[in-house]
Amino acid sequence: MEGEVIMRKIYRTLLVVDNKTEAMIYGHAIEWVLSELDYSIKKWKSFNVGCMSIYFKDLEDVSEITKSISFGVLDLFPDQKCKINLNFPESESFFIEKSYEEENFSPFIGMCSNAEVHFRDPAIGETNPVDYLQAKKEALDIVKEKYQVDLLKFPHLLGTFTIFAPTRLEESFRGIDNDNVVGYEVALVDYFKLYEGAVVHLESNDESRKHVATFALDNEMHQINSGFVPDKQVVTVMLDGLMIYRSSFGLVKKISVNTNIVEQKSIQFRGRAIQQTTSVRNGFDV
Amino acid sequence: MSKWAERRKRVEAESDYDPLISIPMLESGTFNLAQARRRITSEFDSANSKNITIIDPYLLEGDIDVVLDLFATQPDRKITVITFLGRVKQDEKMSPEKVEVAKIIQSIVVDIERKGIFSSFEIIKTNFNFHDRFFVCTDQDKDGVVISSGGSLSMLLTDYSGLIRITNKTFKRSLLQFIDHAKKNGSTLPDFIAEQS
Repeated sequence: MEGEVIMRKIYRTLLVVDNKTEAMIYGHAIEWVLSELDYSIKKWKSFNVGCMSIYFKDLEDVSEITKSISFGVLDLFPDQKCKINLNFPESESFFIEKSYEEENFSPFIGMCSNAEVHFRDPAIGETNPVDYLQAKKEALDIVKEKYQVDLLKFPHLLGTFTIFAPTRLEESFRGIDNDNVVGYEVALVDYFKLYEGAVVHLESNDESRKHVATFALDNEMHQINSGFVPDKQVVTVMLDGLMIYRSSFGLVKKISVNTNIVEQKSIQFRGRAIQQTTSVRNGFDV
Repeated sequence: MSKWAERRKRVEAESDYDPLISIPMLESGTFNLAQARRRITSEFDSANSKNITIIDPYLLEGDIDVVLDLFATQPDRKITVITFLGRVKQDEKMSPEKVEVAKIIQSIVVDIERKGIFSSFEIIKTNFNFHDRFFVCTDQDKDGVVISSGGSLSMLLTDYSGLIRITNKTFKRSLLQFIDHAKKNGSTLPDFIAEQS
């Protein structure tokens, strides 16, 4: 059909494998609609970080992994005998929302996501996850830096493989207090036109008041005259009765800024140099 | 609660690693004594601790270097060491008489004060023996850092000795009581030397 754009979807996949046990200690595949600017990695690439190997590829079909999970082994490079042990007997599905109450790992910060997690319990055999993470800290710091997967911060992700299906909505929000409007303005932008027909529900609260509003998802900026600038805001988007987006956050009405002035001096004492650092802290509100 | 949620909660509850509640020599990776000791320094530095009391029944000449390594990283600190000046075996011989050790250490303390490395550096020699070792921040404006050390200053973090961060407020009050008790039942180093002469 003329003018119709077919969106190409891939599964951006990252695997972290313990070189000693050849077991996958973490993995994810992110369902990703490619924009014109997005690149795609068609062959498995590997990267070694000492005791760990990292593998990544953009899969056309995630069943390449999920089928292997049922077999317990993933044969990445058959000619090189590179077999990865997959032992994920359990699986669950859940929705990850953007929440100030609970920090959840979502590989693309700021997006809500459906998640299907495959996991084992215990995560690392008889080794306590904390001891394992401390023992591999050096390699895991590199994983965090290069791939933004922080297993030290989210230790429960050890021994998991998760398929994320992020909701590609972008929210902008701003409190307003002027002669015409006391409330806020909000927009939810569906760049890829994936959620036509969705409905946006808004709930605003301050210490004593509550205000609700609804509009059809339309990419436009909406000014909501709630009568107060909210302290707490919840934005929910429903499509065909299913929640596809939920963000909850508090609005910052005052920012405290701390400044540090650092001074250093060196004192010679009995054949050694003693370095001293002074840090003067000042704070003010804006 | 789903199995996944239960697993997450359990793993997070167990993830309580603290570099100050540890036997560093047992931690994975190459053990580095200086780096391990720097954990103590970092904690007191980041808390901007100004008043620090070191409790250790033993204090040898070389231990003053350890005190400088640990706490001379920030100026204007008031350091107090509470010690019994216990004698230790060195190379099959006992360490020098307490008063001799006291005189040597006092000469180093005078040099430290002259250089202005600490705003004060006081050593209290108790007239009673004790056993346990602690690093205590006694700043009144904060809930100060308190660390129990399994090893004395000279053996700090060697021989698989560990550190335990203390957060229990009742125990912290007990330590303040101990410090007060030591000051009332002890002498400053110059007084101890004078008493022994």
